[in-house]
Parts: sequence; structure tokens; C-alpha cells
Amino acid sequence: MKRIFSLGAAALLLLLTTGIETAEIKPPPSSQKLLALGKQIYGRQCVACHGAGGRADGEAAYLLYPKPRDFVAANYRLVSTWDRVATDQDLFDTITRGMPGSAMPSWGHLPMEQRWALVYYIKSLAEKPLTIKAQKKPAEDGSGGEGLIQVPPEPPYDTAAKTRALELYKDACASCHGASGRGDGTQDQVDAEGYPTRPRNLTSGVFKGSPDPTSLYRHIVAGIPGSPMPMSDWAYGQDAWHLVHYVRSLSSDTQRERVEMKKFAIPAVRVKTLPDHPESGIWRLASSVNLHLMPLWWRSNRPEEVTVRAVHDGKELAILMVWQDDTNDHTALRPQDFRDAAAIQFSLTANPPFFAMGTTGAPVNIWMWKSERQADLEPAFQELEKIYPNLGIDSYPNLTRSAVEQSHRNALTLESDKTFVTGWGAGNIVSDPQRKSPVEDLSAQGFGTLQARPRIDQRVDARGVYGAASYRVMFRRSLKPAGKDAVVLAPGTTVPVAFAVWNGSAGDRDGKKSVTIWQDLKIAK
Amino acid sequence: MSRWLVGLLVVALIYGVSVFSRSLAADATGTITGRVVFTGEIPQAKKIKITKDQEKCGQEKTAEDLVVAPDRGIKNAVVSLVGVKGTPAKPETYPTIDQKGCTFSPHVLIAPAGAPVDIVNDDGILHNFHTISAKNAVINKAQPGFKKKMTETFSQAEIIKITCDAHGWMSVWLVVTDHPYIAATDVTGAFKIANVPAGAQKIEIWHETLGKITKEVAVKAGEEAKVTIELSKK
Repeated sequence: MKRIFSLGAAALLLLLTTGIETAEIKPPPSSQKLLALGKQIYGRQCVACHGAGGRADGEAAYLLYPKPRDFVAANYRLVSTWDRVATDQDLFDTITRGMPGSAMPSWGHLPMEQRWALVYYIKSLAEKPLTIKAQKKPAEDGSGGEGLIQVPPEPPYDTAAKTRALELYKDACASCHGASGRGDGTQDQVDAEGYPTRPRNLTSGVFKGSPDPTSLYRHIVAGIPGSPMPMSDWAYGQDAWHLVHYVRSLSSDTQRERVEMKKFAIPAVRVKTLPDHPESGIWRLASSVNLHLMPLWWRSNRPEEVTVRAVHDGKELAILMVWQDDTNDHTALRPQDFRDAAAIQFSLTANPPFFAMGTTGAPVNIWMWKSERQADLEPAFQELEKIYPNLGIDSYPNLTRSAVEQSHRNALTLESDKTFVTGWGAGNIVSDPQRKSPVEDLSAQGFGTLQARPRIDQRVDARGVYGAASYRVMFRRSLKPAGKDAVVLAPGTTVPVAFAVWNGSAGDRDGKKSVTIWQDLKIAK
Repeated sequence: MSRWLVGLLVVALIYGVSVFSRSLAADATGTITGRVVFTGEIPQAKKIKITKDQEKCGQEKTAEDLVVAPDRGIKNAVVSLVGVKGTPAKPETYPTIDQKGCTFSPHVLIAPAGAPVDIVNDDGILHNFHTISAKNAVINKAQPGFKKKMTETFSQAEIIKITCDAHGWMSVWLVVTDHPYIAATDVTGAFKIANVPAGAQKIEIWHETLGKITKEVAVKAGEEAKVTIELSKK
């Protein structure tokens, strides 16, 4: 009896687990309920770039290159069909993985049901339905296939296969992707929307579509509609497999993983004493987390990762950001100069708003450090005279005298009455010549709404050092917030946090930056 | 027996009527001939410097986007009747777009809707056949040197621009037609459309850089209607 019972229990367990497994794999069918859910998530997470009607005209669209997809025209890039039309699974995979090489992040952290809801909702925006023809096998030469591209079994990548791959690559790929795969073939290309585009550098590990062998096989055979990447139906069969193996051999798994936007947990461990310097040994007590960055305006020369550590002592929290930057751009006095900077963004709620600066009614708290502000503190304030000596000469120059002997204008000094120095007098932290911290404590509710929090609530301290072609910047603030719209950092809680990095010499400023998606800052008890 | 006879008679009658009406229709057609000419200062043909695959493509190309003869004839303009129906003549061989010396030839090709078009690569290097179309599905196919010939079918009447992303200067215009009343101008700007139904006809003249205009033409049965069409830069 007991045995029967345990058998029955085992069967039930088996049934349950298989039930769960199929639920994981099988997409839920489209329904009014799912469409409504999709619309709701779209409004929260997608509108800023793709626009309310899906016409790729969101508020952030102008900051992005490549441009966001237009869901009304519905010309999708990543397809797995001979018809070069995206399947539901293609859309689902793109939402899940994002599109490295663009500012489309991964949404893999959203529950599966929500991602399918998004698939059905964005499909409902298309002006023409996405139809995929019935399955038809291609002819011997690869032409005439219809429906899903059926990927044949993977052959071994032996010496003969490699020789064949090199031959094919030379004949069919090198013209654009370059002989060594660095994307240095034909450079002047445009996409279907008329935007300039370039062949991918295959050694960088950036794959818009998944680099997993089966997906890559389909992307090679079908090509990338709307881009210059053509269909290579003649490669269907073994040849496409050889190319998959060769193309994958040009980059590593590490490179390919690093370009995917992912959500990580950052543990803020409890320590006795907080570090007081970015190079303090105390940082070693915290584990380092490498977060993946993406530039909003994509470029190949970019910071790929920012390494973050966090500690707290029950009173204050300290976060360290470390990232590579070949140039120390610490002044922005000339109009053509931009400074390096870094920022941390906190959600004020456990369920964060849109990852790019929040939304109306859902403010985020941002701490922004600027290399120039740091330079102002040590050893001297960065003024125009530093770059343009004798700029202040106000009188007609006396040519019989040297420049330094000329009479100077009556410049503003710390002794000036600040009532008459507009920004300073008004309490603008940017105009304050006596700033003590290189960091600004800010608040935002979407694009174009960034503002300093009240001067008396500016409690974030920071210190950044530059050396060995990298920045180390630490931020410190009390766990308790000061004033409205400041993040509460309570031990034992998880706070959504995101990071941004600006490279001044690359022209980064404002919305031109590299960002992470929301991460989990886990503050230890 | 008599039923068979009646049946045969009816068939014969229908045949006779159809033959008669066909010959009537043939009688009621004329021809439109003429020239498309350029007004204004004759532009110099643009030169394109070739920077890629020079051993196959050469050093320099002359742009074909506007070819004007010294006597003002415009090459590669397409003249067609508007609002007519008919079956385009089936060519004996497939219309062919040839890629030779990194140039598509011809530069403008008229092909009947639904008929296969051969795409030939004579260069032995990679070209890609990339169509810019609205009614027909967009094609973008790699044609490496070893793929000498591809065949594609265009089912909808439309003017399709075709480019090669590997060689940005290459382009060809494929004019897919669903009627036979269409012709492209030759190097002298001359064209001829035969078997045009008599009556007031409207013709459309298209040129890739000079745009589109329409013109009314009176076609008389058995006669040749001569027209001169003037195009200019906007």
C-alpha cells in the first residue's frame, strides 16, 4: 500500500514537473487579456523609444542609433523564415535577448507571460499582418523555400569543413565584413530606412540576433531584411553550417555574453569601517560585479563594462564604480570639449519605472559625478583662464606692454556679493564656486526633467581618481534619505539601481552615454 | 445526330465571330512613336571613382542616372500607356539583368509581370541583388562569384530599383508591367509602342532622375502618332 502510494506520488510529481516544463516552453495563445497586459507593459517599458503608436517616434528615439523599430511598418530585422518575415518566436527571442549593437536591452527578466503579451501587442500594431507561408522545402540550389528555415543537423567542423568555410567566407562575406572579419569591407552602406550602416566587425562578438548556432544559421541563410546583409539561400545545407562555425570562431563566448544587457545582483556587504578612498583596501571585502554597458548611440569604441562594488556600515552606503577610459577628460571649458562622468540611478520603488530616467509621476534619484567637478576640488577651480590665458583682458591692449602687464577686468571673486551673481545667488549647485562635493544629487521623471535636489539636501559625497587608463569613482551617502525624492537605502532591502558612464573625448554628454539596465542592489542586514 | 450538327455549327460560329472581332481589333490600332528630349543645358555625365575590386570593376564609371545625347535625346526613359489592360508579350528568353564589370546591364529593363527574370553574375566576385520595392516582396540575395545565375519572379507591376550593397554605385531599374504598351527609349531618346488601341490615349513618361509626367495622345487606326516629350530638371 505504502509502495503504491509512493509510486502514485512519484507519478503525480512527474506529471506536475512535465506540466511545468511544457508551460515554460509552450507560448500562451493570444487573448484579449494578454493583449491588454501587453499594452500595459508597452506603455511602461517601450513607449519612450518606440512611441505611443509604435511608429518609432518615442521621446528618446532621437538619441538612439540604430533607430528603434517601427511596429506599424513592422519590417523586422531578425527573422528565421525563407519569407523574411518574423515569427512570433523571433519577436519573443528579440524581446528576451535584446539587440546588442543597438540600444534595445534585454527584457529577459520580465516573466515569460509578459514577454508573450508584448509579442501579441506589438503584432497588433502592424499595418499589414505578418504572414508566413506554408512550409515548402527549397530546391537543390537553395532557392524557392517558404516558411520556417529548417536547420539540418550540425556537421563536425573538421579540417575539410574549415577549408570550405574559409573559401565561402572569402567569396561571399569578405567583400563587406573584410578579409579578416573586422567589418572593414564596403563602408558606405545604408539601411532600408536610409540611415547609414556598416558591416559588423565579426571579431567584436556583437550579434544583433542570437549567436547560438541555430539562430546564426538562420540569420546567415535568410539575411537581415532592411539591412544590406543579404539572403544566402545557396548556403542552405552544409555550407551555412561551415560559415556558422567560422563566424563563431572569430569571437569568444565571453565577448558575446558581455554585449548582452543583463540584470545582476550587487551585494552591499556590511563592513565595520567604510572606505574613504576609491583605492582603499576595504573595497576588497565586497565582491565585484561586472555590469554590461550599452551606448545609446552605438559605436564600436565604447566602455563595455563597469565594475561595481558596494559596502555599508549600518549608517552609510558606499558604491565604487570602475571603468576603462583611455583619456582623462576633466575640463569642459571650450565649447568643443566634454567631460567624463558617471552616474548612479536609484528607483524609489521596488518595481522600478522605465530604466531611462523614470517617468512622469515615478521619479528616480540620480547621483552624478563629473571629472571636472573633481578637478575643481583639487587643486584649483577650473576656469576659462586656464585654457585661454589673458582671456579677461578687458581694456584695449597696450602693445608696448606684455600680456601679463595689461590691466584686467574686474573679475568675480569669492568676495563678490553673490546676490548679484545669478546662478550662485539662486542656489544653483552648478554655479556654486565653493562646492565641496564633485557629485550632484539629482531627481528626474523622464527625459528633459533632470533637476538638482534642494541644496540643503545635497548629501552625497564622492571621490574619483584616474589612472592606468581607468576611472575609480566612489560615492557615499547616509542610508537615511534627506528630503523628498531621495532614495531610502535600508539594510535588508533590494533597491533597483542603474549606472551610466560618459566618455568626454567621444563627445558624450547628456543623453549621449553608455548605460546599464536596472540591477538589484541587495543591501545586507 | 441533329444535336451534334447544331453543336458544331455553334462552335464554328463562335470561332468565326472571334476571328472577325480580332481582325477588327487589329485594324483599330495605331502606333505611338516619338522621342523623349531634354530641355535646358545638357548636363555633363557624372564620373564615379571606383575604390573597390578595381581589378574587376575598373577605375572609373560614367553614371547612368541621366544620359543625354548631344541632340538632346534622353536614354532610359520609359513610356507606357495609362489605364490599359492586356497581356504583356511573353519574351522568348527570360529578361536578363547582367552584372559585368560591376555595372548592371541594361540600366533599365522592362519585364512582364509574373515572368522569371535571370540575374547573371559575370564578374566572379560577390554582388548582392537588393530590390527596393513596395508591391513585390523585397529581395536581397547574395550572389557570390560561384553563383553564376539566379532566377527571380516579380508578380506585381511596379518600377523597382535594384542596388548592390557591396558596390554602392551599381543600380538598375526593373520595370514590371502587366500590359504590352510600354517601351524604353534608346540612346537617341526614341521609342515605339505598337498595336495601341485607337482613340484618345494617355501616356506616362518616367525617368529615374527627371520624374514622371503624363501626356494625351490621339491614336488613329493604322496610323503612326508622333510625339515629342520634353523633360527637364525640376
